[in-house]
Amino acid sequence: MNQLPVLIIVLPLLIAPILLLVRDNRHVYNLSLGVSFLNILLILILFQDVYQNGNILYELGSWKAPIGIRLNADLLSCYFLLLINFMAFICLIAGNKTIKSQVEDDNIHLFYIAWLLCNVGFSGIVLTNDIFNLFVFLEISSLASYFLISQGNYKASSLAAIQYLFIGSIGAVFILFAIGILYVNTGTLNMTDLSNKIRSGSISLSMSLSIAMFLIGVGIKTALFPLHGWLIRTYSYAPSIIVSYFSGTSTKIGIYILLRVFLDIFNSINPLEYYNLAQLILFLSLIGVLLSTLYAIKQNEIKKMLAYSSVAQLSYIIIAIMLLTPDGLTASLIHVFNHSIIKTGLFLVVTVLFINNKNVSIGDFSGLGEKYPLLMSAFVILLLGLIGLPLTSGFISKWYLISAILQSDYWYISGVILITSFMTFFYAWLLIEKIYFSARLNHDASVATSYQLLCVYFLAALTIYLGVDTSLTFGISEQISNNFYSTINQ
Amino acid sequence: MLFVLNMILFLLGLFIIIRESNLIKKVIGLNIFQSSVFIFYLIISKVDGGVPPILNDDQLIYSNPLPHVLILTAIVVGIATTSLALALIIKVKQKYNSIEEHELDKI
Amino acid sequence: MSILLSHILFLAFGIVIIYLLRKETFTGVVSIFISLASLVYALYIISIQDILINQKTDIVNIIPGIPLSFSLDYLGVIFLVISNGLWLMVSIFSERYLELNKYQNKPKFYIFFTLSMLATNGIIYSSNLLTTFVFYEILTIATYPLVTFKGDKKSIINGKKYLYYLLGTSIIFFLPAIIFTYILTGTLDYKVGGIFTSYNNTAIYILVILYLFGIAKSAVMPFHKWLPSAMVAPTPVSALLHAVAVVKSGVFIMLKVFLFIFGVDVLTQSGANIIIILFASFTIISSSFIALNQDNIKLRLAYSTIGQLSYIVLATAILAPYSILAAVLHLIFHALGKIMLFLSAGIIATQTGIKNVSEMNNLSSKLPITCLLMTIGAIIMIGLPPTIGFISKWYLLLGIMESENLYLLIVIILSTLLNASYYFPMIYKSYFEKAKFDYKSPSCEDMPLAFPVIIVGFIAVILFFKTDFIIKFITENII
Repeated sequence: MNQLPVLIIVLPLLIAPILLLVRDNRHVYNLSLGVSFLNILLILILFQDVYQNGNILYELGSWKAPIGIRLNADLLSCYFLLLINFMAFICLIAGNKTIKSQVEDDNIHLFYIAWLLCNVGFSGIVLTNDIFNLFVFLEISSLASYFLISQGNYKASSLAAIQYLFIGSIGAVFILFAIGILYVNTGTLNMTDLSNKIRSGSISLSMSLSIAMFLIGVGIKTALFPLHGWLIRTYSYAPSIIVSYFSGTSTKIGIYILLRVFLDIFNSINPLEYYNLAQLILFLSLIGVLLSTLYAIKQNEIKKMLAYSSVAQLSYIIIAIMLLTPDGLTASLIHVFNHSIIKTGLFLVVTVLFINNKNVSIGDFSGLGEKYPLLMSAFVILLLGLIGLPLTSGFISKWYLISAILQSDYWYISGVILITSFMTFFYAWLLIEKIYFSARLNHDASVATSYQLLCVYFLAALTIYLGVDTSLTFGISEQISNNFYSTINQ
Repeated sequence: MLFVLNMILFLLGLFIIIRESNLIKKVIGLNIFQSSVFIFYLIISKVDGGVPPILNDDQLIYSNPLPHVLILTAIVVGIATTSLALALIIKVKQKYNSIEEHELDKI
Repeated sequence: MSILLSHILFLAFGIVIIYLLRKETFTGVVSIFISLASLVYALYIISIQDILINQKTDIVNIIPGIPLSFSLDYLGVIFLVISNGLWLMVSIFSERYLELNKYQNKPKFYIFFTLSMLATNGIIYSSNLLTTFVFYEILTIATYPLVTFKGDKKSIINGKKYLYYLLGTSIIFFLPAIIFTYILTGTLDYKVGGIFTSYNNTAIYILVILYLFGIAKSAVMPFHKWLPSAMVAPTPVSALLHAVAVVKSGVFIMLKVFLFIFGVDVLTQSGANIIIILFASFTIISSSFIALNQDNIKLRLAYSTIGQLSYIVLATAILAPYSILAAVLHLIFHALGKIMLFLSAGIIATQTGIKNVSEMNNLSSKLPITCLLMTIGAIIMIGLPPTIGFISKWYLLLGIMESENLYLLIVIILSTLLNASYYFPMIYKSYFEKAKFDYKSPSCEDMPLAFPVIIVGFIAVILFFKTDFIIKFITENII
């Protein structure tokens, strides 16, 4: 049996308590970086294997499913797994210095441990084939993330953390309830088993309740409009490196659960179509895109601006899924990847430049174009990617998104998408203007270390690379969505 | 009937979390909310006339053990959540000198 | 490696060179050499055009199935000579111009100027709509730093407007038009006769409107406001980019879309060309009226450009062989004429500080050569013999007769009258009215500054007697 899937979860899970004994901040950092790097190597091998030979199943403790817990590494899992761990690695490299200055000294080793656990949770969610296990991993990552958020050096950090804790727990409990109902109806918790046992004929009231509860739970996790309030608060007050990390991962995990539950487990009912849920979510997201883009333009604080922008971009992803066409799913998966890289890159620039500033406003970017020409050009590339200009990955996302919308029944919403995507340009341009055309020079900006710079350059380069060569994003996304829709259509 | 009571508990918990302004009371609400789901799991695992699932030659009908096991995990998670919440509330109290949310939002 | 790709890479290399030399003073000279080499490249490519025509070079698959790809077509050949030839002239001009006007940060100017020309050449070489779109956006972004080159508040506000219009229309109209085309036809390659094999009229109507609005670089109303805003830029930028490279790219793309994406047959059978004709005619008339009221020389020229561009669009949309000939001819002739006008305006502003038409009294005594060149340019714009402007207008009228859209004659006649009425005051004032003001400096012609303009004027005059080879080339290869 291939041991890779379990190693990816267990390795950091084992290292985390050991780090508690190490305590020394420097060693803890090096070790967690090492684990993170090792994990990426393992994931790449796993990915390669899955890509060539199909799913890899791993039965924990050799207990056969559906009684035992099974891990299932399929392409979708690997796609998200790679994204999440890659982001964790990049953010770890870039984060060292900022963590030192933003987090209290005594807590630094705990911070890294929580980070590792959070990542374990994320990896577990995407790998597990047991739906209760998914809940457990979700809670592991959530608990770790509440702690991580509370470590920000803002006054409101703890408050943001506890508010997120309340809403996150509500979401988790809803999911737990939904799982219970599913179990009553089918008598199994294994996802593959579940999707076999749920038949289109057997839609009971309780099943509908379960679907509704899943929707609320997942909606909270993905910051689905109007459940997005926590995201803005969290992103504004968390340590900036954690924001960089979460912007690329935590909401994307929500997207993963959405796909797994609604398109995989329930694939024979296809609840999104059956209850016209897709239409509801689609229009909610559409309003979400419009409002959050407008809010993003109005923000003066850059973290809030980028947070609202994240809500808008997530809504694009959800809209693409809700088209319920293979093209739409492909577009959403491409955008998941591209947006993570772009948004993490943007937040990283804010992180490395303003270690000590708490409320970074647009004005703080004044005149930085001359002070840091290379870093700022990377920043501009990322912004152009966010706008979606050609030769950046954002363009690829936009192309497929619009192409999918035009080919679906909802072709008339393309106008809103196009206009909001142009409005993205408004707030991105506010920044670019400040960077290059402001007479005042901001002297508060801190000097970034070469590692941090390297991370930003790498993400910017990746933005361009993924805008030119789409074989990774498009190739895999298309394969995943074809797999999904071939089973749905059966 | 049990399900209805359970549902009432569920909604009550949710209502408390949303409406209460005091953070501690919110945590209490969260606990009620979680407990309602725990109880739900226990209700569904009960089999009429079933006994605790201890291997025994006489008894063939026993309650479903799996939800009990599951909910044990969930209870652990719930405790962790509660303790983390309380810890965070202490920090909030230290910083703001208040745990009433409507006051906190003003600051 | 394909020669087309190597041309683009050469320009990219040139940008790197200028960037590396950025502290040195002779970046201007380097830039002249780059433009000269680019012209040589263009001429070489033309000399071997028979081998190159319709040979595709795929560079990279941006979207699976749609590569970034270069090829040369006959329409491109013409635009290639014009843009690269005039680029050489303007870079000679701008070296002197920047020096006389004491502009700072010259390397930045040359870097983005070269990048703009790279994008223009990219548009010329592109063999499918996606490639065109990529370079179209690069051109927008690359010209922005030039528009805001002065860095003062006014240029930043105008620069923003410039970007909002060009990027906004390209995102909201052009991109969905391309995607929609791709969905309908499954290809984006330019093909003689168009790529629509089956179609319904509604789709064609929608697409025509999307393209018309989306390619805002051709400045068809209502999305024309960016062009006057762009006039805050230094004169060489206005001259080359906003009278030749950028706007002509817009018109060039429009031509290619109408001829090689839709195809003449589809447009005539669906009757969608009426929409274009209406918008273009409206633009021609109203821009002339607005130009009448502009006192600033550059703004007057800008509105004249808007009108003249719509001539080309109109001529294309009539879809008669003669009118397409007129469109291509006017693409060339307007470029020559307008660049003379803009560069003369630049000389006038540099040497005398005059920026408004009302101050031009008796200018010819100070700047005789410049005024002569300006006069030639103006007559080309009006379209009077014996200048090349007359030839394109002649064929346009023939095309209108041929297509029997006789009401368009009124548009042409009216706009010619209007053209005359805003260009003649400039000529009349500079020659016959007495000076009201003392000039800033009693200088006369600055020969290094006037030299490139004289060459362009010379070519423009010569060309009137030698148009037959161009017409032959166009009728044989394009129509």
